[in-house]
Amino acid sequence: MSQFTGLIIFLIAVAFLLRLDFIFYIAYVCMGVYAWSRWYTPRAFARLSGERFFSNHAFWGEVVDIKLRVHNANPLPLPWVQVSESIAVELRLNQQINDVTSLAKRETAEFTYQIKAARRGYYKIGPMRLATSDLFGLLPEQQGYIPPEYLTVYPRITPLSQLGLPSHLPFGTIASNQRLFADPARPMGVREYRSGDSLRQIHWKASAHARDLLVKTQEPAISLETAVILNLHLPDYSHRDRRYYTEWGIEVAASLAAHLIDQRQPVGFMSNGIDPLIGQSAAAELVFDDTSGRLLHQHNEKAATATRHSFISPPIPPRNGRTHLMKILERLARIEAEETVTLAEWLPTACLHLSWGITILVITAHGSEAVCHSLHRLVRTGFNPVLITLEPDYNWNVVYERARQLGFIAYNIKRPQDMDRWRRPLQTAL
Amino acid sequence: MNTSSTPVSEKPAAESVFVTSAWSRTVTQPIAIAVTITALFVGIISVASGIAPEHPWFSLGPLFFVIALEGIYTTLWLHHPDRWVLEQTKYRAAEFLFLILVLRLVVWIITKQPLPDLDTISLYLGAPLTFFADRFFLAASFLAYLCWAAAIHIGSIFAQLAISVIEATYYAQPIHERMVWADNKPATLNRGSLVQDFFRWWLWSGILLIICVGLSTIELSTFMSQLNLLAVTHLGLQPALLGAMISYFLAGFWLISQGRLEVLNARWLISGVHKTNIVERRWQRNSLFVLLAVALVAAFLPIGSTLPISRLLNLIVGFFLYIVNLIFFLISLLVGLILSLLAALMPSRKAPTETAEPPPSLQKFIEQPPTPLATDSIASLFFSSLFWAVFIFIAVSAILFYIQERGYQINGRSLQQIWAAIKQWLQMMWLGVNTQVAELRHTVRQRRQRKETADTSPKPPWRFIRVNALSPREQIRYFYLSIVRRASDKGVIRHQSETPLEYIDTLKQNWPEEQTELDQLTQAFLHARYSPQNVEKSQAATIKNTWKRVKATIRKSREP
Repeated sequence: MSQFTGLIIFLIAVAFLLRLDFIFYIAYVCMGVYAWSRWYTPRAFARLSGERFFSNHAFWGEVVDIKLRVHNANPLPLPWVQVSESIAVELRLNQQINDVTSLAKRETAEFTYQIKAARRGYYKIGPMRLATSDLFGLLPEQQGYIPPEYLTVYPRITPLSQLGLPSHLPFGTIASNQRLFADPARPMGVREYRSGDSLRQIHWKASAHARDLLVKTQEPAISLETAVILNLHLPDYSHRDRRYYTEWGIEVAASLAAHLIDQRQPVGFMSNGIDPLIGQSAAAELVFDDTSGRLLHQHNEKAATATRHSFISPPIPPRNGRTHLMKILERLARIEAEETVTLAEWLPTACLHLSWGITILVITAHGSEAVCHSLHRLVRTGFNPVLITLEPDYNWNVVYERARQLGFIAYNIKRPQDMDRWRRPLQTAL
Repeated sequence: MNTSSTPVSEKPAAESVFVTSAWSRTVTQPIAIAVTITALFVGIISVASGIAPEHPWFSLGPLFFVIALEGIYTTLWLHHPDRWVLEQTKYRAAEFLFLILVLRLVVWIITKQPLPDLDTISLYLGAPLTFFADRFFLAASFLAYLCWAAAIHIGSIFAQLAISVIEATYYAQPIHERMVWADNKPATLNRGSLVQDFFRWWLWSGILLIICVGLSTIELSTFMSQLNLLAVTHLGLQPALLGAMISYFLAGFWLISQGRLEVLNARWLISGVHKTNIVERRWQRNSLFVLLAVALVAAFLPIGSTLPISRLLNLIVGFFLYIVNLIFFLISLLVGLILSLLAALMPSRKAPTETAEPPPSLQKFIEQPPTPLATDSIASLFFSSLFWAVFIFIAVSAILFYIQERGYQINGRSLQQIWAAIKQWLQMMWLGVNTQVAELRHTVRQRRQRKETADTSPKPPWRFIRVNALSPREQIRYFYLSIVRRASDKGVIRHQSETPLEYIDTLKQNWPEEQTELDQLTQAFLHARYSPQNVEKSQAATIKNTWKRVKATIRKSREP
């Protein structure tokens, strides 16, 4: 570069000394080329824009199309533009975008690629690197980045038909065989009057017609206002299969939440796992795994010194509706198992704000005595806890019996086939 | 807004996109390199022309272009893997010898030397070195060598920069499959440093060209005699140098752009970047557009010497040179004074009393003819014959080696074919010459017949000329020619070789009383005939009166 500047200075000096006007012309040409390279290219690059178009939420197994658009807003062409999109290896479905193209004036180039949502998580898409330079190599390469965007991949959801969970709350929308919760809004038929029947239950018109006292019968119904509590305290899981069972627990939680929302029931979610997005003020602070592209929880000094409770994801109170389900699924997409606080310690505080009679689905690794006693305390408080254990347990019968004696139901859902019981009709399930 | 979409599945094959196109590798780049090198050497020969103006230096320009082009194409040819087994040094030597022979022939033609007569041939045979001992040829050979070496250097840079099919095929494989091709892995090249090499060469050569151009505009004789920078006489810039400078810088910039493209291509290829064909096409178009646009805009900018800053700088430079000259003068004055003081202080030596014997005259030795020895002439003949035999053998072998390696077989059959072709060409030429001679003869005969017919035919009828209708210039010419005709009628004939000023003496001798009028008439005729200035009517009127008087005098006179 300095040599070229030297040439220009030399040309001008010779032109002045020898009074040769034509050398001025040559000097002008050299200066023109130099100025073009040094002045135009950075300005043209500043007017180069890039955009990324994609759906930022995807269900497990879905293929996501990502379209990149690079626009040259300059009135003159850009001889070459290199477009490189940074994508984690595990996300790539086909070859990544690492293209070089030439853009004419006001031209837009589009690049399309696909990624596969093969694993739940919060992924970084990008950044997109744009690079260009001049035609003569007189200017260092100009680089710019289009900031990354994020894709949430929901956990796998297994479709369920009937859970058959008991509830203490009447007047719901789910038909039940618990007579205690007969729903006056669901008339089923009439029967003969029996002693002790309330006079208000007598169907007067039908009685007049039949010339005998008939009593209205109502279809029983329960409300399954439910809180899904997922234990992601890492030491609670056996060391060998930690990763598998924590993921499996998240899938079970997502499937249950999705089913209950489908049943128009209010569902809440709580977990003692870590949401890596919590506590990160700026996008630059987020750390993603290079291979998988997933958001990682930072194990920094700040995290070590702070109380573990501060990193636990905040509870999502019970609500119904698809939007609420998406909120729960987003949380489940990001949540990570971590050494935080044991379920037995955390459960009483977690359930403080839940309303009386609510069904609490506690998903944890195994039904230890401490866990069972915690659930028993919930029973005594007036909740309706259901224990769902994830890891295989040779003493499952003992656990089951203990749970029954302590007043709650226990299930061992250690693999996808075990969820078949919730795909069967209600009568057989109970 | 134009939109170009590039789906991942529709990417072109890497091999076809990254390989340097044949057009660029074998046509545009060699021509641009040859133009750059030739332009540089035009600058050098302009200086040589200033030093030895008696030689036709600029006629060497086209030859240098051909030499550069030949050097580049041979470099490209030798760069092919099939030619790696060839002994390149030997081939290069044969190539250079071939070029030198061609150069000798060209020098002979451009210096317009006559064909060697028997004496010259015998001189060449007896003293072979005299055949080559031509200063112009030796200088041209040296420049041709430099030109050829530069072409090889730059050609080699661009041959290495170009991406080969092998390279493209290797890097187009996925990384895990390249292990299978490990034996075919292309050598790693630092293309960036190659472009830097070319860039440096171009810069320094550009500076050399500018210096040469600058020197060619200085009148070297005054500069050498005065050694005063302020008194240097500047000459105009020759058109060939203008063209050389423009060509050098524009072609150089274009080659830098090509080198840059090759560097980027290699980087993209190795890092697995997908490239579209459009990049290459638009690169060529954009680089040409930028260069031409800059050249055009520069043409409309004010010339440097007209700028106020230029005048200011000129003043500063002039002042600086003045100071340098003054310092130089003062130092030389001081040294002179010191030397003269020292000379005055030194004791003067006595003049030798005896006159020294004069040194032997050189002429004496020169005039003494060497004693001819019969053995010397035989030895000289032997060595000169040996030299020519070896030279011809080497030259023929080199040419055959040079040509045959290029795929042109020379054997008895091909020589017969060439001889037959030459014979046929000569026959055609002879036939053509015969036809033309016959046509010429026919034309000449016809013209002669026409002339004879014209001589025997009666004179054309008298034609009346209205003098006043003629222009003043034509009137004067008419008056003079009329006098000449009348004088001829009186026997004072003007010969064809006689000029008006010579003829006037004859006229004055015959009509001495009209000397002044004859002078006026002749001068007026010369003015009307040869001067570009207008002839006034008044002048024609004056001459008319003169003409009348002279005419009357001639009419009155008798025939001599």
